[in-house]
Amino acid sequence: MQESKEDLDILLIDDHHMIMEGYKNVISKAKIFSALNFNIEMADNCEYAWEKIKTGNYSVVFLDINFPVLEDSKIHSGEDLGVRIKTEFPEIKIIILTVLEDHFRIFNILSNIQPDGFLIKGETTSKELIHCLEKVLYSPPYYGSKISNLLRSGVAQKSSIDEIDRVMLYQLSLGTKTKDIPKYVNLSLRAVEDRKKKLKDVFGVRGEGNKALLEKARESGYI
Amino acid sequence: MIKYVLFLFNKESNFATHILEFLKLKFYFLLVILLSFLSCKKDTGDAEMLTKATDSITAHIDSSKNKKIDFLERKENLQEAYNLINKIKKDSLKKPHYLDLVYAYYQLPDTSRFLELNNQVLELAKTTNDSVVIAKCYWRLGNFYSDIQNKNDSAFYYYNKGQEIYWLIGNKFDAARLLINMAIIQKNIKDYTGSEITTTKAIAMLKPLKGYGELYSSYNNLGIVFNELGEYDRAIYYHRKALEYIEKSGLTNRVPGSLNNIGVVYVNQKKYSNAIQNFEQGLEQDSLFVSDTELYAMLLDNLAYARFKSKDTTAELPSIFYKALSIRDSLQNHYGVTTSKLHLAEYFLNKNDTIKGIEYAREVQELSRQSNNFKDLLSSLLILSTADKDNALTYTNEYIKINDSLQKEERAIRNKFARIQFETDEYISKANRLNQQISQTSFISAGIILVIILLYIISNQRAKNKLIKQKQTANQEIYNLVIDQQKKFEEGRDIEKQYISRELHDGILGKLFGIRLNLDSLNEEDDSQSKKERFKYIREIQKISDQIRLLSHRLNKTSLSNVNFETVLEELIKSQNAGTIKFHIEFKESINWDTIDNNIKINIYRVLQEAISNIHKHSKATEARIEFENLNDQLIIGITDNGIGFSPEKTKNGIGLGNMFARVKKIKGKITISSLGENRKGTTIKLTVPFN
Repeated sequence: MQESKEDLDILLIDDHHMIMEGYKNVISKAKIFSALNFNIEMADNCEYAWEKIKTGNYSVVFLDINFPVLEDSKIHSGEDLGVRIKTEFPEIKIIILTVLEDHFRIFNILSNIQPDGFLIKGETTSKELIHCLEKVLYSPPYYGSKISNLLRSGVAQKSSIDEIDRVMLYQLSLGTKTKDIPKYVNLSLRAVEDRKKKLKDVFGVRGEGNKALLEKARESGYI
Repeated sequence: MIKYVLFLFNKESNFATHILEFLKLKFYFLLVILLSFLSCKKDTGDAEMLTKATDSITAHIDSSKNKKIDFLERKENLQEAYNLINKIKKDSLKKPHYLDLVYAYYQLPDTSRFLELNNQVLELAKTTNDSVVIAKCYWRLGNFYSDIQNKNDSAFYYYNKGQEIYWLIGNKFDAARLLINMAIIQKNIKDYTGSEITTTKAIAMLKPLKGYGELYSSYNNLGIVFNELGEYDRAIYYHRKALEYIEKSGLTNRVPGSLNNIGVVYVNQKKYSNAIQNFEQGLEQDSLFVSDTELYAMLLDNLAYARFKSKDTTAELPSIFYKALSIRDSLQNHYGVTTSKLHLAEYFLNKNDTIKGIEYAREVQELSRQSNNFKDLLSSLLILSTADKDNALTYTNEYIKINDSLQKEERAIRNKFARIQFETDEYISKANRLNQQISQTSFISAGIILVIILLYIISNQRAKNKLIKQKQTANQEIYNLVIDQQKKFEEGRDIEKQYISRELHDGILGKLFGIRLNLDSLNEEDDSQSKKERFKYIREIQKISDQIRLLSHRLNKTSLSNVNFETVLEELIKSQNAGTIKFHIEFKESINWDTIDNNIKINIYRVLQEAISNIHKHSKATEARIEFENLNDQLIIGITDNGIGFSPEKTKNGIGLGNMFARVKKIKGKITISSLGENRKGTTIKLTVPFN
């Protein structure tokens, strides 16, 4: 006789099948979820995943951020998909699993999706994955150690990059000198320098020059 | 009246040097002939004959001058010399001998023969435009008319003509000598102002040339002129100057003459003791009697006259007068004789010996009438008109008549002279103007040439600058092309880097994460199924290491980015492949582009661009091939397509083709376009460019 178990639909979204296989193996073999009857499905691209979400009845979604860009794809990244899920299916719990370690992206994801779980693939073990799922199911959210450290550091408060920051970054990328920036933004030089310092914190760069900052900003798609 | 001492320049010292020069010239000429025709016996014979002829001509002329030989024999010698000269074939070789001969005849003297030959030489010289010889002939004619014919106007005319030629050919020295001769003639016809002017002209020319002998003659003439004009102090001054120049020139034999002339002035000034002193000093000169007997007689006569005038009773007068007269008589010196006799007439009249006085005066009248010596004739008439009271009226009438006609004649001659000189002055000033014009013209043309040279230099510099600029532009363009290429490469490398980075981050890390997760989950299992699965993941790791190796290889490739002109060309061709035409590029040999001038490279690049654009626009080809070949230091580029072709001769004027031709020409290359025409297939452009 078997105890009747609660069904739980899970959608794994990652472009690497091996990873999804790994999630599936880890989750299905986890003993603490014996009361649950996992119904695990996979999608290796966002488009397909979105179709499945719209038609399916998933409780949890494991979502990767980086996907190879497909030509006719309307959803470019896991982040876009996450936002859609969050707005259209707010009841679905989202666990972000990414290799990204870029502070700025992480803050963005945090603020845009407000995922229930957030893990950095590099530091994630099977145990942590199980622990995360458990937490997400019963007392979300769960953030991996790097994420929580980041959140604790307080950088998050200053992490928002507004229009003025974008103009500043743009001007700097054109080669405009810091002392000339006040011509383009309605700020004093002092304020501009403060903002630049903050941006450096946000992008996690050190040192005096603009080069590292601009590189980071370019990488993050701000320029 | 007193006879002056004056020297017309009929001495041929200068002429002798001319002859020497001619002989020298001839010597060289012969030497040349001897050397150049050594192999040819006949010519050598001719030359020998010529030398012989020259020798015997000289011998004949020399013996004609030997006064010990009979006059007729001497004349025959000259005739012989003349015959020998005529045998010489070349006119140029004849001339110097003729000149020699002419002078010999003059000295002989055989005036008719002299005149004949001189005219002959003159004609010869005129046909060959030999100014030196022409001037010489005129000079001799002048001497002839002045000394022998006593025709002052003719003499003046020829001297003037000679002077004119010397002046024109720049021989100022001889021109001045002839001017002095002219001045003396002017003085002789009492054109004292004219004489003064002419002499001054001669002095101005002579002073820078340091012709001391000639300057003496000039000042001597001036002294005489001023004596005649009654300006005795000036006359003395000029004579003293003349003496100074005698000293400078070393012509000491002229001293007694000069002293004589000074004495004459003192006589006129009635300073008889001064006059006597000068005359005596003149007579004291060594062996004057032998060297210049005439002058000796003159000094003697003048001394006697001065003593007579000074009322010196101690002197043995009139024996000194007689001594001078007898010397002059023996010399057949007519002028001297009449002068002496005039002095004697005056002396005896003064001593109240009227008969003797009149007798001498009559003798003078007779002699001077014969020799056309009007000056002494007039003096004698003057004396007779006062001494011979019975015939005084006749003498006076004759005097007036002769004096009038003489004055008329002199006036006429003076006018003639003035005319001759005016014409010469006119001629010379014309020549001067011409010279001025010539110098002006040459100045202007020198200026123009200078300007042209300057312009040439400037344009040359400009062309050079242009070339440098062109080169710079070419360098710049090549540099830009390479930089562009470099940029493209860098962009490509950046994309590649991003790709590798993403691949590492997302692909490898992701896969490793998956494997780790899977192995993690299989960790606690020990069944055979799990073992199998573990093995599967181990194989996956193997795959990842392969992938890493691949990435590493790719990373290696991207760092290799050596951009040169070849890559630029490759990129140009590759970038054409977006359309329907397939472009191929091939380098058959390796070409060291670095050693090739950038100007060549950029032009090749532009020609290729043009050709490719033509293929795109007109050819309708499906394939095009660009080949580079390196053949004997020449770059051969073939551009072939399989399009519809065209008729090159019809389209030659198209701007595109024109540009191509111009560019190829600029780098000294050749271009041939062969197309099979409208209805057939394909176009081939062959470009041959030398590397340097």
